[in-house]
Amino acid sequence: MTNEELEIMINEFVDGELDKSKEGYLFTQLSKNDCLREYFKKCGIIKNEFQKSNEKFPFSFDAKILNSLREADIKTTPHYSQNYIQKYLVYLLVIVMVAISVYFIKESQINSKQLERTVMQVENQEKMIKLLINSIPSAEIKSTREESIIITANKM
Amino acid sequence: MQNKSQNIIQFTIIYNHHKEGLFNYCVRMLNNRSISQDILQNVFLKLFQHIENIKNFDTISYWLFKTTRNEIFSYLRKKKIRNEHLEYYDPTENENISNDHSNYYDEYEKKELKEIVLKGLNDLPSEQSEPFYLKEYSGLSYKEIASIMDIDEDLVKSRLYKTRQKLIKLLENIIINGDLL
Repeated sequence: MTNEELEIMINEFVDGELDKSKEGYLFTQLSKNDCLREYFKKCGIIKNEFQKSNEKFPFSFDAKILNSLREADIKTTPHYSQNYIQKYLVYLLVIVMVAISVYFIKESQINSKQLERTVMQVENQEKMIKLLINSIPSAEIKSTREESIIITANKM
Repeated sequence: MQNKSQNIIQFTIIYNHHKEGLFNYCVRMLNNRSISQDILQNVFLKLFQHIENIKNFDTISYWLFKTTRNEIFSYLRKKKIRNEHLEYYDPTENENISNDHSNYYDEYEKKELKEIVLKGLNDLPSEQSEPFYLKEYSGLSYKEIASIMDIDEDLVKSRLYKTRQKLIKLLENIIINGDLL
């Protein structure tokens, strides 16, 4: 393996990505090669120095974030009184709907009785008309020419 | 009610575990603390609102860093800042940055080694330093970083290697000039 390949292996080791089976080989090479050991040491220094540069999370920012979350939670979660009002509004709506439907049922019952009466009346009137037609005397039509045409009304 | 308190506990654990890493990642990417705070506030708000829907908490670290990265890039797009390295940073903070490595030795007298490492990272293009930040702050695997950045896994590996090479050269320069290590 070339030095560059071994350096890549060191990088993988530092990043926690080196296969466990290759670790033994890497450490053997490190024990033999001074340059590689130096490189390994420098990688460690970079990692440590970079970690030292980490900024602490500002306390004021903690409060800012957590307060914003609380506000967002209040906006999304309905308040108890809002819940209470919503529940009663739904009940009220249901009662109104039931009252309206009862009114329409009663109205339709009244209308159906009226319709029945009207139908009866119409039937009676029809019978009367038929009786009147039957009671009319038969009609006779005579022509003025020689050949006479006689039309007589049909007897029912 | 019990479900809600469980969600709050879960959120608190995740928040405390990841807040520092995410904050540092944002600050390094943007070099602006107040914008980093706004971005993180949005990220944690999203987490809080969707925590009920999260089924697999093992991938939460991946989700958080991916969401944070999306927020950062969305902010940069809104501000019409192109994804070029120098434009990520506050110009006042770049005044002292120089490509001449010999200057680092002079700076060392005033500043600690960690600051020199940070400056070295700042000098790199963002696409090269970002995998390093993600690796160090999130501890995610190469595969996850590749997925977050939407690049190949081998590219992540190679960028990390090149970043370390450049930082090591920087350290070597300091050793030659000041025999510090």
